[in-house]
Amino acid sequence: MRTPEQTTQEVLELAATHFKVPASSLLPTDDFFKKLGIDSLQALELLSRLENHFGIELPDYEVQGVSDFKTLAERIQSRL
Amino acid sequence: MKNFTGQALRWEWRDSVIELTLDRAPANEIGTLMLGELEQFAAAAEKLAPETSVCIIHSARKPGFSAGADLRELYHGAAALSEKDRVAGVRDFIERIHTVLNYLDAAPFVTIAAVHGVCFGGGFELALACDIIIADKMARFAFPELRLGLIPGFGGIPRLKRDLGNAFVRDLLLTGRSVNATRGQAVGLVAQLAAEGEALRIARGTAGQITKFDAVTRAAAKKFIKPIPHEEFRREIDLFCELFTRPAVSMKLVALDHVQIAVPPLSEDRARGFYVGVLGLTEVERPAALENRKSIWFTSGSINLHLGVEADFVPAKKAHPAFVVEGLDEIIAKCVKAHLPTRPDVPLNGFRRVHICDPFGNRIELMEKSAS
Repeated sequence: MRTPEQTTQEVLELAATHFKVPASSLLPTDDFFKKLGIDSLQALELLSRLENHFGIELPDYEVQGVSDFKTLAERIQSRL
Repeated sequence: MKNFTGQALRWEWRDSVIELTLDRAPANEIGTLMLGELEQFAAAAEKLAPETSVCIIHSARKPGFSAGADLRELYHGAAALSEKDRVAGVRDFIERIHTVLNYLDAAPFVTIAAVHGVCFGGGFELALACDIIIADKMARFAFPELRLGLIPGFGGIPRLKRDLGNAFVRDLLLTGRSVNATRGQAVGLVAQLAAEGEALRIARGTAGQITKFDAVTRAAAKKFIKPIPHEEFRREIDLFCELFTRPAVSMKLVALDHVQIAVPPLSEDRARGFYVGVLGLTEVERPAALENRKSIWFTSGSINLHLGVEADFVPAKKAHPAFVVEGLDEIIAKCVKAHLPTRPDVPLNGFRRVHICDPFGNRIELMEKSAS
């Protein structure tokens, strides 16, 4: 059973791997659109990665308006 | 025609397999260009059908299979038309799409959609017209149409219902959410899952297997198990056209009432010299309620133009109103005579366009319908 901190860390690492940046450069409170310079299509790619990794589904409306890793992890946590 | 390269797609026939590659930036949006080339494809495929066992449809665009209908083109084209023409135009487009997709749906050869990335709306509907969907793990499927006040109009709902029953369709349609390919496989939408980037390879492998079987049996089997829901398509088209041309129910902007341009203090006479003398507008009295305000009002036809005095005036060099005129050349001649700058611009939508400046440097665009 993952703790929220573990989930957040896994989210950061997944994002780092997918967008090819060092995980250490990402903070939970970072806005991933701004920090990673991604667009909405790339955000969908990240969504797919997260869904496949955690074995859950994350409807788009759940992550609309979410732009930081910590809140994203909270949404994921509520489906674990 | 065994090979073709167009602007939105290309195809190649080889060893009884046709590969249709969608390749229109940014994400294979389905507009009139793509539709026209799909129609060419359908015509060619019909001729090639006797020697074809499989057609694989896939995308060369990184974002995915297809992001859907080119709504910008559809709306933009519709905006300039009358209500009657708008309805007819949309219906024509939709019916043409249905004709192509119905051909694919019923083709005697097997159709495989090799999907990666986004497969949304009309793009999803194109994939649904195929017999088999092979998707990589990062692919996503969605019907976002309700977010836009529409329903899927390319036959997606009847086809998805035919394949999977009502509940999954309701989920996707009513929430507009996208689902990944893994979920797609779980519900039976996706026949085979591929590793990222491997959908085409797996599709080719599957095609190789299919080509081994007898063509007549295959065509008969396909016809047997694949009913085409024509009546539902007709109702879907009617509903789509009704929704597309429906006026907004709550708030909406109805019309432009007037445009206000800034002018410097103590410029009223020079302003009149231009707006009346050169542009031919008529000055009108301001309503009594606005007597105290420093502005001059002009009108011509349906145009209402107000000039507002601004103490720290700066001319609008880029932002500008655009007026449709008659006698553009006479106006330009008057500008030249008054030493006012004029600059032609590229014609658009059958209009000649010229930019001029009023005496204060405000940019104004003038448009005249080209004689055709």
